[in-house]
Amino acid sequence: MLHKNKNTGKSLSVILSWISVLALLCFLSSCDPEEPDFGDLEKVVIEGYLFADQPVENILVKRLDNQEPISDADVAIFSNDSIFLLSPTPNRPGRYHFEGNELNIRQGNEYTIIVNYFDKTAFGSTIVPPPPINLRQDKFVIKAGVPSNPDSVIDQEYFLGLAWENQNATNYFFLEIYNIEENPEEIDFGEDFERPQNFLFPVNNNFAIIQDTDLQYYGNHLVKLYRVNPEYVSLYFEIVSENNQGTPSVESSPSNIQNGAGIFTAFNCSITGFQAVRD
Amino acid sequence: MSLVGLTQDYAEIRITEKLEQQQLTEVLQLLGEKYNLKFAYDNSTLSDQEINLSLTNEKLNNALTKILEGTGLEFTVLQSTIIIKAKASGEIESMSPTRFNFPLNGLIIDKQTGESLPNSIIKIEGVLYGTVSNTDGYFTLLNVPSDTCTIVFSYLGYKTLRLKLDPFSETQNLQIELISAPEMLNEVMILDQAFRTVKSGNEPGQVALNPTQLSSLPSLGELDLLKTLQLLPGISGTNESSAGLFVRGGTPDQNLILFDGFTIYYLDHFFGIFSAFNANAVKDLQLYKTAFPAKYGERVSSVVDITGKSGNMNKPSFGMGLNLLSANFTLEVPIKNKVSFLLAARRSYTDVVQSPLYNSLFDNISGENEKVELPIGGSRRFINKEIDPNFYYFDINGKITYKPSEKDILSFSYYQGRDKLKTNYNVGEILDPDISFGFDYSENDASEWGTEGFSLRWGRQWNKKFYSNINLGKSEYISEFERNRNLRVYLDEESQITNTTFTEENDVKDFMLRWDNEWNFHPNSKLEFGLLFNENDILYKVTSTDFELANLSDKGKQKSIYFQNTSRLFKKLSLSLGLRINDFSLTEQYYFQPRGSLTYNIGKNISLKAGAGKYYQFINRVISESLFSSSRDFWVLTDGENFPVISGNHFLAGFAYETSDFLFDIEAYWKSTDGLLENLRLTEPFFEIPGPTEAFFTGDGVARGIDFFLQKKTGKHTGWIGYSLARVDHNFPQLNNGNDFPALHDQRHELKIVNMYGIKKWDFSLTWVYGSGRPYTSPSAIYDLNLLGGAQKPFLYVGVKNNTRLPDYHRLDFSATYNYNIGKVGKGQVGLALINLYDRDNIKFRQIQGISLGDNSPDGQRLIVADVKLLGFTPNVFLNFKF
Repeated sequence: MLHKNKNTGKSLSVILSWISVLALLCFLSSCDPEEPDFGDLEKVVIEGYLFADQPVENILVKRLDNQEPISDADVAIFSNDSIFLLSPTPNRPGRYHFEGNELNIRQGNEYTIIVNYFDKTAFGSTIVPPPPINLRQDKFVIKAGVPSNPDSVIDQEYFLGLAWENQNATNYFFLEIYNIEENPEEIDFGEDFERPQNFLFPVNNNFAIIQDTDLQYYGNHLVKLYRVNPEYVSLYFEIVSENNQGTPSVESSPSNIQNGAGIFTAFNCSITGFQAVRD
Repeated sequence: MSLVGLTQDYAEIRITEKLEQQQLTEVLQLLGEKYNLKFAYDNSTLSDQEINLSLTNEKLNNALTKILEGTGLEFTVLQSTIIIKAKASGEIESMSPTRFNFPLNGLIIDKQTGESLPNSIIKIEGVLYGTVSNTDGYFTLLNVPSDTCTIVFSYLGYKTLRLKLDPFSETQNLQIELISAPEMLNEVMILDQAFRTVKSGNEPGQVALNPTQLSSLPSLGELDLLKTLQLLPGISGTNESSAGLFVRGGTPDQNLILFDGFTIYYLDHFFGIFSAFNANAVKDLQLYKTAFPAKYGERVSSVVDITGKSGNMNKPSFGMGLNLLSANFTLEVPIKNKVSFLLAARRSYTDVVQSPLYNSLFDNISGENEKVELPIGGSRRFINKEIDPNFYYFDINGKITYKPSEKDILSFSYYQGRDKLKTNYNVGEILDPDISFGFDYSENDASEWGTEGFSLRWGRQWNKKFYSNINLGKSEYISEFERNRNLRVYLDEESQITNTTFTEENDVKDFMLRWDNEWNFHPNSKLEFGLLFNENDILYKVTSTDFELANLSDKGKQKSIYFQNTSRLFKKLSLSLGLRINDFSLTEQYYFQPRGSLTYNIGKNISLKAGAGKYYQFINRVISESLFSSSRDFWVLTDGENFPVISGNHFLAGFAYETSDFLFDIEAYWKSTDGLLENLRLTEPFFEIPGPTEAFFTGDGVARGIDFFLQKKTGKHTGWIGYSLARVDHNFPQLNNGNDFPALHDQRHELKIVNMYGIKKWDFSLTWVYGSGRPYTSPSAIYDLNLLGGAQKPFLYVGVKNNTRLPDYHRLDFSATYNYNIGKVGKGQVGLALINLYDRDNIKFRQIQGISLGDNSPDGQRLIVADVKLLGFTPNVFLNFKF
């Protein structure tokens, strides 16, 4: 009996050794990963922005799989029990607009976009937010460019302060600055100058400081302060999915479009202006 | 003849005698008097035996063997008495039994240290059934058929002891002394004995692990209990960046980890590279992979029940170890044979000396130094963000055990494990040197995380049928993160300073009072019952300077009662039925959890097994991934609404064929789990913006699979092959269009081959782990949107969740250990471990980001795919010694 057990043990040792070698040889030649299942990609991407008290135009519809514009979709906006059909904009593939004047974008109203294509209906809704309240500024003229006297102290004249109401930092705002001169003169900041990347994201502040280095040109500027909705803010975020694994997993980007992708949102804004002058 | 049971004193005795024509009785008397030995024998069996022998400095066992040679006698030792008796084939074998169906009880201890051996197996040879010693090593074997049976005592990592009963044998309050395998290493005669690292347990789905044998397996640093478990089928072995256990489709937060009765909430050191348990402080580990008994609750996947080492009861000992990351020591001090004290500690010296191994591991975790563009206006340039980490971890185990009587054991066990990381980022830039205009910017992160706990336990063997155990304990998990950002903008001598502070804190307090009982009320039945009172006090708070971003503090109480009856029916069937009832204060509900398991023996070597159970869990762990900021996972109590009660059902069926040399075991399982959490977070790359940026979804999952285990237990070459075929699907109504998708830890195939080879003083091991690719999500499409201000940004569309898989994982590890003696009093080990021998590029996860190349055409859109890799080839050396 003892003899038999010893033989069994030796046999198992041999088996273990051979299986180790065989398994190594088999698996070292790794297999190709299987082809991913991408699911149904016959869907549309909508880029729809509504601006309070502005006509509806520039609604973009394109294919999800290859981003080709779609100019033959049925596109409509639904609001207050009324439906407004949009028309393709000539010479602008994939763009749609509303031709009449019955569709008014009013603060507080809810709007739903509906797009029929690929025998499917994609849709998304938004509510027009109120404009920023009590937008104010500390000056209307700022200095810009390299100081005429390099030894002079950089002072507040190069900074413009803006402020508005945003109690408890609950709302988000986006600031846009335009030069409105017909032939603007470029500000010279020197050879190594790199423009700062300010005002690229929505903020939940109640103030902003514009400095001369944010500008490209001298002259008159328009400042638009948009009040933006949460669905728009989410575009600036990335979604990370976690489920007890400790490793992030990619998810679809934020979107408020059902059965499709993209964004449908509304903005409201307050406007002011200032002038940038040479020192 | 047998060495088993010789006390330490006896083992060291050397005999020098010249025996000429002396009767055996005279020889025994002579030895007894001269060497202070206690012999017991029946005079009638020794009559007229004459001895002629010359002994020179012979070990006692060799001397006795020579003396008894040719006499037809053998010796065995029981409770410091050397019993001389006829060999099994001699007269006593043919003696008629005088006692029938009687109980046998006693205590099983380590011969060298006097420590109790919990979960030892006691069986009657030739009979299929037996029993298991309890936490304190006490056992009662009821219904022993006759007093000529042989009782077999076995414990993982110890030499099996066969005790042949005879009509004169003691049957009450026996003290059984087993010899640990390492103590036998220098004994050539026992090289053929079993050296087992793991053992399939007595109950379905159960596995036992022997910490003393771990040094023969490759490890990165300290001996690692949980990493060894990962070499078993049914437990994922491919998540090397986590010491957490993915057991049969469950996740680490669904495992109950008990250390001397109190719960451990955080298992890792060094971001998951090591487990937080010091193997030198652990005596026993029992893992229940599926269908665990009613004694355990409050988790839905598996149970790891760890018993801490109580320390040497016989003599002081001291051990030390050193490797490329950390050092450790163990001190064991007995006090008057009634009290033992153990202190074991480990600490990495990574904050003082950064070895190549540390740098390799840390780089693997963190990636290279980042190059970032700071969100500060002005004429800035790209600035290297210099990271200056200061990291270390430590853990301490302390235990005092007091045996006031033969029946009582009091113990106090303490554990603390901590990881601490500090990182400083400092940058400064002079924007205009002429006018002294510039800024200093610094970020200081401080993180600390780990578990601290204690238990105070009283165990008493009231009588041969009743044992009880009261355990009072507390454990506390903390995870603290603080980031201070300081910006100083200066102009000439004036400066403006902006300080912001971000803190994240998770504190889980767990108070526990446990009362467990075992009542052998019938020769064929054992009833286990008990109560548990448990209070969880959880704080999760996030603040940004003075603004509170989150506060999920909560407190909940649980009351549990359980009963479990294990009966032996028809000699071949062991049936265990139990019920656990929980009362949870936050949901104000009772939760009934029936459990059951059975083992049916077909013949001597083959058994069938099955098990089933219902399980509930009232605490959830939410993962918050962030490198460089410690474990920012946080625990929350279930409230039945936002954080659901997790519930699970287990079903298990299996088959085992076991001989003295090998084991072949198959288990098939099916586990369902409800109340799973998926956390979707919106992350913004630059700012910590407060707001509703987090969503929790709940879903359910099903795991099913088959585990195969073939183990060779004896000989110079031991080891096993484990193969798992498994599938884990999840379903979340709000994700993936409500369709099932494979869980992130779904791995269809996993193969593990463990080879251990011992020759003379060398131990070699070679382990190979293969796992088929885990799923991840590959985006289906990328599209652009124009944003306010004229910017264009790419966005991802994911059609199907976890729609493809990473490349296969495989890794070969090797270790060589040389065992040596340090004089007559100590033992040492020096070794080399080579991890990932052929430097396989295994992938931890795949990061995917959309990027626009500035071209608005579809061709201008690309995806960036970055593979976060696991460890490449990594060597380590270690040195251990013990006196």
